[in-house]
Amino acid sequence: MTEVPSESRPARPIMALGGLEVARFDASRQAWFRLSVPELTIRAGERICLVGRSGSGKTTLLEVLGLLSCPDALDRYDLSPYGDGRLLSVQEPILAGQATVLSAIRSRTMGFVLQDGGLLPYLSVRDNALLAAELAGQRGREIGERIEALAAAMGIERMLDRLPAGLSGGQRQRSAVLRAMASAPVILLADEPTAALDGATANEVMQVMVNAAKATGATLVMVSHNEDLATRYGFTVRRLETHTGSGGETSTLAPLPQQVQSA
Amino acid sequence: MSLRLGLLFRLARRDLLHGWQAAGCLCIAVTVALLPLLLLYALKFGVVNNMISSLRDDPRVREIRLMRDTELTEAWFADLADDPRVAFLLPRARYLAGSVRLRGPDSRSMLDSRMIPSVTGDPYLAGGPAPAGLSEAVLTERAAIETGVRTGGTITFVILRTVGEQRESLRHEVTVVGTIPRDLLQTDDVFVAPELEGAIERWREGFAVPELGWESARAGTRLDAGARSIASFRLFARDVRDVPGLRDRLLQDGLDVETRASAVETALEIETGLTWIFFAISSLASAGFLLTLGLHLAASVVEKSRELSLLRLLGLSSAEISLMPSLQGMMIALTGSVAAALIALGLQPLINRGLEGLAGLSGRISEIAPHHLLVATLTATAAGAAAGCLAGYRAARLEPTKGLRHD
Repeated sequence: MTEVPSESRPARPIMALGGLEVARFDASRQAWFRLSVPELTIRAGERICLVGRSGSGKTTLLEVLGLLSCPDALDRYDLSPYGDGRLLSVQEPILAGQATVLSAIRSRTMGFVLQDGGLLPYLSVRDNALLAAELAGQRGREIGERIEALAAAMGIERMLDRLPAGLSGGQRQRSAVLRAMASAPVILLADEPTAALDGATANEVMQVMVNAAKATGATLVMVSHNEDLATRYGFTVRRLETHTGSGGETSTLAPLPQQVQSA
Repeated sequence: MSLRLGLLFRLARRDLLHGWQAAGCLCIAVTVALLPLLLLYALKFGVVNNMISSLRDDPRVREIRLMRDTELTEAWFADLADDPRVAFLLPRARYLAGSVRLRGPDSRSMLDSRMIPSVTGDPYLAGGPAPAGLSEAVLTERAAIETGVRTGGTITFVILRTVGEQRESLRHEVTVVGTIPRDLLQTDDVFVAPELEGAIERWREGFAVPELGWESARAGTRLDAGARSIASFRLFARDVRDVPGLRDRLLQDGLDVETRASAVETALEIETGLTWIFFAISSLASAGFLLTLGLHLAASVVEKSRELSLLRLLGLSSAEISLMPSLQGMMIALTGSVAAALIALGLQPLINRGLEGLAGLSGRISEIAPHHLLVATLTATAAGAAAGCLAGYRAARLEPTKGLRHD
């Protein structure tokens, strides 16, 4: 296992949102759940780990960050994915639920790593990666070359033509990272990517993911229960704190500790 | 946003190939549903075609005969000639004026015969030479045997007329240029050009025929015939299917006609009956096919909702996702229908051998043309696309978050 030291925080914000409110009625508990994020700024190249107890809204927050679901209130959501300072406000399309617009932005700027990999079972690892690139509007020989280079760096170059069913858990997650990185996204969103893996394999996957993000300068936002693992790989931990009241549960994204802010 | 149909097609095909067992079963189901329909259609088409073509081969079936001489105007005649259902139409002399006696060079007796006007294209001539001018004739085989004249020989027309108290006769020699087989016509008729028939009719009525040197009834005086009235006609329909319609038209005009329309109508009734049976069975089969494939595709969307949501997560639009089941339905239906078409084609010779001679029919009893198979395949493929609509509607409602949240 190779530990990745925490890096100095880059200056340029890549993702900034504020005034986020989500309210959902949990039918199984017959109670309301509320998520509140007063402010969240993520900088280019930063590694953020969202932690909190089960049901605290980590994945809900990841969905909003990934332009996948519509919050009840959102004062601001700015993306600056292009590195040239252009600011893209997605507040309006996300509140209006403009799926086509959001889908186009998502596929061109974001990559996703899911808990079980989320690879399409009928496509080989290579084709899964090529599909993500094609949906991001990228085609051509250099895409194939980029995928082969990434696979070699991840140690899965011999798995490229295998179907996901023929892969071990660790190989599948590394393939999922490969697919997520195939379109060279600026933001990588990972939902508990190591939850289903044993300790050693989880380390390998984290190593692969962090190295890939570092190599391309991608920002990493991860949901995890494994705070230790995240800290070890240089993630800034952002905690969702849950309070139970008469009206149900409310989770709020806690502000960064003072020492982290000043680091 | 434009639809990425090529990409969707590739994904739909890869997904089907991945679950080839289920897809294969569905293709077989389509083949099994479609094959009996194709065979039934081939049988219907073959039987009806067989009956109709055997009728078509017989010119008598297309002939419409006027029962009695009448007075027909030129305008009425021209109007009938313009009817698109009419293939052959010639004016004909009155019955009495059209009779003639035939004598061969070696025969002692004479044969009472009836002149029939004929030109090139006469269905009875069956492609043989038509009599031309005033000195050629075509005999029926029976008339040729009776008179002992063969093709190329000469026969004498003995023509009689009675004008007032005076009876006259003349002889006119013509060359026999062909004979009509006995299985086509069992009469003693003689086919002549309309000019010769008209000349004989004019002479019979007491007029002179200068082109043949025949004098008028009052010797030395030259009488010319006035405008000729049309007493009868020879009429053949363009197709056997046109016979009933033409018959009805003539009946409406007050003309008594004789046809073999009943034979045609029987064939057409059989065709209608078989078509109804075919449509009833094909409707049931199509409904079953649509329901089976549609429900399978809808169930497949539920089963594969995670994968479809992942595709939305990766960037496919809901419109694109909604097309996936229809594309798969089309692929299944196309594969199944092509297999059914090939099997149906392969079975044709066996069925025809097995049913040879059935009900007096000859030739191919089961018959299916490539364009029928093409229509069947395209129809099945379109039905496959339609079967995927419900599944497509369900797929379009899948949210990309389902791809992220996986239990």
